[in-house]
Amino acid sequence: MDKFMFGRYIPGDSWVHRLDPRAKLILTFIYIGVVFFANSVWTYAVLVVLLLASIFATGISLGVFLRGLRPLLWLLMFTVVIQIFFGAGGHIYWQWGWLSVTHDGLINALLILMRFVLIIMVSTLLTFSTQPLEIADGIESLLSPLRKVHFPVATLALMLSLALRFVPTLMDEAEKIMNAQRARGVDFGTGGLRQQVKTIVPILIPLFVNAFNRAVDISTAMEARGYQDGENRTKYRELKWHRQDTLSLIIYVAFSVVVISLRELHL
Amino acid sequence: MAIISVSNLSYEYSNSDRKAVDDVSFDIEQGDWVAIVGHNGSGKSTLAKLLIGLMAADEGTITIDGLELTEETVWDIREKVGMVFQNPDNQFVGATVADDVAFGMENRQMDRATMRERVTSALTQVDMLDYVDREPAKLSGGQKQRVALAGIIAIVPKILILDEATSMLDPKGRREILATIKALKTKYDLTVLSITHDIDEAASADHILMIDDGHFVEEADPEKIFSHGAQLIQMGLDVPFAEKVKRALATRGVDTPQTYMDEGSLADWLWKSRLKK
Repeated sequence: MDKFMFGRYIPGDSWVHRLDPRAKLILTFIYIGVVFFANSVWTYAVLVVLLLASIFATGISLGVFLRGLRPLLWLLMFTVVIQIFFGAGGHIYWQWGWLSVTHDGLINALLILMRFVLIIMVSTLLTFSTQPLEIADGIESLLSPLRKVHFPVATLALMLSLALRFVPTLMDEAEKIMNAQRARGVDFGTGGLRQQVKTIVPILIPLFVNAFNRAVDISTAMEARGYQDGENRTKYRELKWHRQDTLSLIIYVAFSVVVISLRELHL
Repeated sequence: MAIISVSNLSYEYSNSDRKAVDDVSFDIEQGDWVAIVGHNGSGKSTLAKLLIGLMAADEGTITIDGLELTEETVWDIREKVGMVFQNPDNQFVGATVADDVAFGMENRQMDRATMRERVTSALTQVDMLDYVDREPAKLSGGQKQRVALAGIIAIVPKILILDEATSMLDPKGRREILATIKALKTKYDLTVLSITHDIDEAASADHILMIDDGHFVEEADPEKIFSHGAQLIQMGLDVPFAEKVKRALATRGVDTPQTYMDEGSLADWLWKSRLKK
């Protein structure tokens, strides 16, 4: 599990770490949106510069980010290969039956690869520099306009924060159950597919049953502590929008404008 | 006037053929520490849940601090009562220690400044201030229970109910949490109702209320209850350590006194009895 960097949080105290989670969510959305506008070397160059500058501002080394890409390597290669062989149009370099390598196909594959990498990197940037809890707070705050259409934002936020709070607890429990079943002779990770699926059952069922019991206990405890519904509550946590949040937003918007105008100018 | 008054309370679970709580009546005075003891499945926890209206009783009335428990008053009653449950993990609602302490206050719509102040003061009182930003997964069971206590102090209840709050802790955690509760009880003049089958915890109460298979058996001070010795064991309960020593001595032919003694008075008696010989 330790090698799995994707979606992790890396504690730190950089410029990016201190940004408001709402700002970071918005920045990520802007970036991902703009990636789809990029269509030439220059537009990508602008996006790469912005990304590298943002990565530098987190104080986390580029190597760690690249390691975050590793689990997705197969997916990346798969899409690129599909694009190369099934892309059509332009000069044909090589052909064999259905398969062909063409000029446009290669360009498309390269574009897709760039988009993938940029989007993954920018999302990794968000999760590396923001605690899950802050992300939950940010999502709640960004969703708050939906209250107008009677969407239960507070309830959703509570569910999200409870879910996040129980991730480590349930992971511990899953491990305990696995060890307990191992002690009783269940062999995980060997045998054929059927055999392997069968060994999951003695983990899954106790985990589900315990989760139900937990839910009952938690709801009892919440009710005993005066919880009535999501809306009529004050909030202890507070998000503060600072000047650096506005500044980052301006920078991202400026870069987006540059990318879109480069596209319009066909550069 | 009694702060908790229960009369003729009965409750039967829908999937059961006998009453979990059967015609139980008792009064608890303001400022008392009362332990409710009974073996597993004797109806102790059901009683606790009935007291704060988490389940509705089939028969009988519950009056807490002058308010009779009904559907209308249930939230007012919960304002007055804080409850610590058995499993430290399953009552930790917040994502961090501070969030969990603030949970009850958020439900009461307190403003942020008051919440901050009270979170700090409550965590100081349970000696957990250093852990304010810690996540529950990184705390021990005893620490989690202390955070649960802090969450309750923050809303300043009149009554504290401990529903086997120490049963999943190690002996050290158990001692620490009981010491904290004792200090808080004196400070806030709390009425404490502790449901337990830890007999040493029961021994530190002012009164013990014994229930057996949903029936009320007896309410008396610990000395009287523990002098029942054999009857306690028959009911599936344990006796305190000093009492066990006395019984072991008695089976070896030592003439031990009939009255209940705690560890201190037993030690006194032991070394005096050697002097006499």
